[in-house]
Amino acid sequence: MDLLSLSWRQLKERRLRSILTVLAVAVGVTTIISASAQVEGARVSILENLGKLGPDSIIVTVRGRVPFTDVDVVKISSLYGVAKATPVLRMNVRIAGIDNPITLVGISSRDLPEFLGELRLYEGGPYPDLPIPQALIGNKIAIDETGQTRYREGQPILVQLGQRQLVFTVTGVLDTYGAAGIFPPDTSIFIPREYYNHLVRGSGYSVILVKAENMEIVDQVSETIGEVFGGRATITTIKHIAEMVTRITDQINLLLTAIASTSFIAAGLGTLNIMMISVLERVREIGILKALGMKDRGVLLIYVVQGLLIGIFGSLVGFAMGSLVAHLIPGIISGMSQRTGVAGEFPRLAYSPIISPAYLGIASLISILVTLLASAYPAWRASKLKPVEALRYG
Amino acid sequence: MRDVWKIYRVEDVEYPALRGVDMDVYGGEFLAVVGPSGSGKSTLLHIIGGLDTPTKGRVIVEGSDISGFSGEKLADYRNRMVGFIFQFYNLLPYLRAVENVELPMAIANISPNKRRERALELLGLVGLGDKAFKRPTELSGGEQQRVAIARSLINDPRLILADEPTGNIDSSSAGVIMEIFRRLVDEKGVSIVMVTHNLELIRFCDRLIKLRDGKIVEVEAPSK
Repeated sequence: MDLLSLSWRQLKERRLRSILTVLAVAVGVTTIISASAQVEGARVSILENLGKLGPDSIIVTVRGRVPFTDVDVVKISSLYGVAKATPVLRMNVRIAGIDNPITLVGISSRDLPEFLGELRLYEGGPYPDLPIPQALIGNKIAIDETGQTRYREGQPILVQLGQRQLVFTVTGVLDTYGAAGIFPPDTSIFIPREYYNHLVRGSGYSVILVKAENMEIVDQVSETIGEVFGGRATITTIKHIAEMVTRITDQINLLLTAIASTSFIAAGLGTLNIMMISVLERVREIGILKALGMKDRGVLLIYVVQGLLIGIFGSLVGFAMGSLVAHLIPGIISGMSQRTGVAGEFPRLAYSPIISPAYLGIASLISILVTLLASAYPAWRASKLKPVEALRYG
Repeated sequence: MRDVWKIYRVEDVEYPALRGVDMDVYGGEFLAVVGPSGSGKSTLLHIIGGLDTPTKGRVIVEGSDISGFSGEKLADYRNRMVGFIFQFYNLLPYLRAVENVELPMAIANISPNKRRERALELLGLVGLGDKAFKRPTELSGGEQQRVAIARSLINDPRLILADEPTGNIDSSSAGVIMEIFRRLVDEKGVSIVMVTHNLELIRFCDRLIKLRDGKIVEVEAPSK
């Protein structure tokens, strides 16, 4: 029954009050952990998808109205350090029964794995590279939000391109990709390049996907392409996008932590209040301890340790609640977006929340610091009580 | 105690609780302090015990003047040299009897095994060996006071200060406590200063001091 044990016994004696204080602290920890887990999860998912395209990838997008031609593709292919240049044709189309725009991509079936990172099929297979109206369609086009099948392998699909109506035969359906690649595969229709060219004769390419020979020369190759095309092209490397994603998610996390920190102010004031009440209730008890020879320092420690214990338990409970909430949030968001119909507006990011040790550390540190600070003043007041006056109290 | 004054000041008005008290407490004596309410009995006890400091005068305990002690030194003095017994027992309600008894030893940082052994021994001495693990609320007033006595003895103090120790318990329990006090004085050579209203208890004491208005008005050996 030393100081730690005395602190603990006092907390235990006022069980409900202690639990409520711990919960107040835990709310802040829960918020930080669950929110940062979403951002971390999303970030890792984006980076993973980008990684599938390969860190040696460079995306050359046309800037302005003049598209890339076959000459441009050959020009890029012949540059030093370029392993391969794949032209990609794309435009927005509509499909009856789906409100959101769909991307029609003209690409050689051989280049599909490079474009998608890897080719994963839900059913069927890719199309032959011939000028015929066949298509490989994204998972969200084939299956609606409620899980009902719209299109199957072998069935026709009607595509609205401006005023024109086009019919393609579905050769296969892709697996779910989430937000991957240059444009979202889940809401894209892939057709043979030869047929695309036949549809829009001489329209040129909007995107050229370039692979560098190795990762080390990515920056050098992208610089060379930039010099060749000048202002005609925007050059993005996967490496650069990954850096950008990391930077943005770091900032979002910082913002979330700042918002969650306001809940710690409330928790801190709550703890201060409880500790003040606790000290006032125990004035006589403090008098007894001092009469028995406890020094000011000892009394101070009893209450500081109580603050510390509240902080530690708040972190632990917050960690448990945060982990639970973190894993519930994706389900809640998807449920909400289905009800409000937001789901189709942009491809939903498929991710699993990731609890980062860094944010766990930050949240625990803040909660312990806040409760320590909140207990410091009541503890000091308690330690300065005069034994005779304290014994007369109550 | 030499020329000890204690003056309380409330705003600009002074209230003297003790006015130049001179007294001695000898080793191995049982001293009773009596007097009407407000005569300064408790203040006297608090000053001897280092719970309060005199406004003027010296309090010499075994050669050291404790009136000049710092807060830390006074805390040590209270812990090792003095044992307190209060009218309302002042046990911590969330600790078991044995843990309450151990408390002064825990404050002195003595190992758990040693203090548990000693606490159980003292609870046996006051006849509560079988109730060591009860909480204060499960004990009668007399039993709680006996726990407090055991607690006051745990660091082997030379001096026990008892402030109305039987004020809140029935007369048969009061008799038991007086017998314990007598035994402590006779067998262990402890000095006891007891403040009381109950003149019936004086027969257990060796000497009597009467206080009135903060002054000693009479010192006598009670007729046994």
